Amino acid sequence: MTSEGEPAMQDEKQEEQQGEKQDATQDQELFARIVGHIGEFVERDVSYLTPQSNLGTSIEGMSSLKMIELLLYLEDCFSVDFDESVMEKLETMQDLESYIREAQDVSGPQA
Amino acid sequence: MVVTGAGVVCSLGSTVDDLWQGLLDGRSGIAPVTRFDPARFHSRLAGEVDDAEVTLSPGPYAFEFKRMSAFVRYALFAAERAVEDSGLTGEPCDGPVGEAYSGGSAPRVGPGLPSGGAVYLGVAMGGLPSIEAGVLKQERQGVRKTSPFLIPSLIPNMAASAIALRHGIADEQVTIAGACASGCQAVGEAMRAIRSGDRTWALAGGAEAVTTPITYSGFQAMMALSRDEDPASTPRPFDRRRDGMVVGEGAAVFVLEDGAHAEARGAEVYGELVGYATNSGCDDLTGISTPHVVRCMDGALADAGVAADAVDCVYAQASGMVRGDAAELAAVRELLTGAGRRPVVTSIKGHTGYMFAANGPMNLAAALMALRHQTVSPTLKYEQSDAAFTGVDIAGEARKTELRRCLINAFGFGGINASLVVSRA
Repeated sequence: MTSEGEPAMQDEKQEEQQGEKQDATQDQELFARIVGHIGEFVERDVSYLTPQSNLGTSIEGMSSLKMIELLLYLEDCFSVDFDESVMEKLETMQDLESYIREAQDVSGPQA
Repeated sequence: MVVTGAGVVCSLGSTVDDLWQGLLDGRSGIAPVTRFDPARFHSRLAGEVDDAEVTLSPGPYAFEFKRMSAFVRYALFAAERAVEDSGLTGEPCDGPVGEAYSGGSAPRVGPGLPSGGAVYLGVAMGGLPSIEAGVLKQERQGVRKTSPFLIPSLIPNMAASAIALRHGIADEQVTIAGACASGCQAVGEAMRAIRSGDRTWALAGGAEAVTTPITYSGFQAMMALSRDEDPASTPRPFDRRRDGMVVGEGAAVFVLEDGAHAEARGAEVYGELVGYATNSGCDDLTGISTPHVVRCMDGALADAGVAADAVDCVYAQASGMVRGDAAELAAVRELLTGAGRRPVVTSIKGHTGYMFAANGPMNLAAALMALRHQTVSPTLKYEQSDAAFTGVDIAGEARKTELRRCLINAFGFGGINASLVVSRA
């Protein structure tokens, strides 16, 4: 059992690692897409944004109304609907990315 | 009180020179509606602004103002041209601190404007296109897809507010909603504020942009729109074949200054605003009433301290409406009873269409250029005189003549009448 089980465990580990790598790549891609769309929206380069960047203070000229408009814009970009109660709680880019990823998972795979 | 800066945008162009050259050349800004499909309406024409010309320099709230209804963008554009034109600069007072700029004093475009100023702007219908689009979006896509900028973009004060916020004008911003007399009243009330010593200068004018289906259905229901499908022949103020108005878009904003203030800084002067009156009265809810208009024009002349024969030209409201044009000309004739000389009467609506709150200010821009060039611009499309207008001198062609003063009229639904008298510099 042991001799048969070890390779199987290794396979699982490798799959897990590959899966994590894939997730990380997908996260990076999603993050880059979000940054790209924010740049389109505010009409300036925001490539400096990191997952830790605060949504309210890291983007020059952001205001409460502009933030709501940005989220409506991102809804269209990612074909998702944000829950209004959550919209107020998004603080960092990481929060935004996580929320969009979860919303996409709920609404199914997106093209 | 003098006018030291002017900015306009309308279907003839985006500078005062464009406006004046278009008026003199007999160029019509009337063309088929492009903002929506007008097939279901009697009127399918409009005097639309070329939005490609309405650029906004980078600066405070540029992002927000791009999302504003057109009347806000046009007002802001015209105001910025007027400020540039006037050369008015000064140590600005700190403007109200916007939410987006909570870290410090409000930023502003340009070198800043001196304290002691104000914005007075007339807007009749505000963001009607935004309201209509907002309703349709709500019905089609659901309530939560409504933009948070919808309400700020459509409230009528946002034109004055945009100007005040962009330029850091902290003393006063006033919006006048007096239907199609709004802009004329705004200029007049700014005059009064400067005269009283409350203000030393003001940005004043009017803006309107309501080329949207609900405007056409509403005015069609009132039988106010021209049914003529040929943009070369409508609207035709004073012509006996006139059959209604054509919707126009535009904004005209001026820098008004206390005369001594302008002189001290060596400002170039367009003309002197010397008289203003506004009154209330009509025969029905939307009609123009001859006796009340006579009273209004008479009041403006009295305010200027001149008699009727001191006016050489009338820039009329004259929209091309059958009754309205007749009522106004009857008032002009009555005003001049016993006067030694008759002023020449002209209308710009055949060129520009009917610009609602911007009517009076656009008339003022034309009158200031007429005074500067000592030339009356022609009433475009006026070909066949109306027997009822015998005795009134209507400018069918551009006319070179001595112009000392012009009278400007604008009237609005609800019996709002306003007249200004402007003298050459």
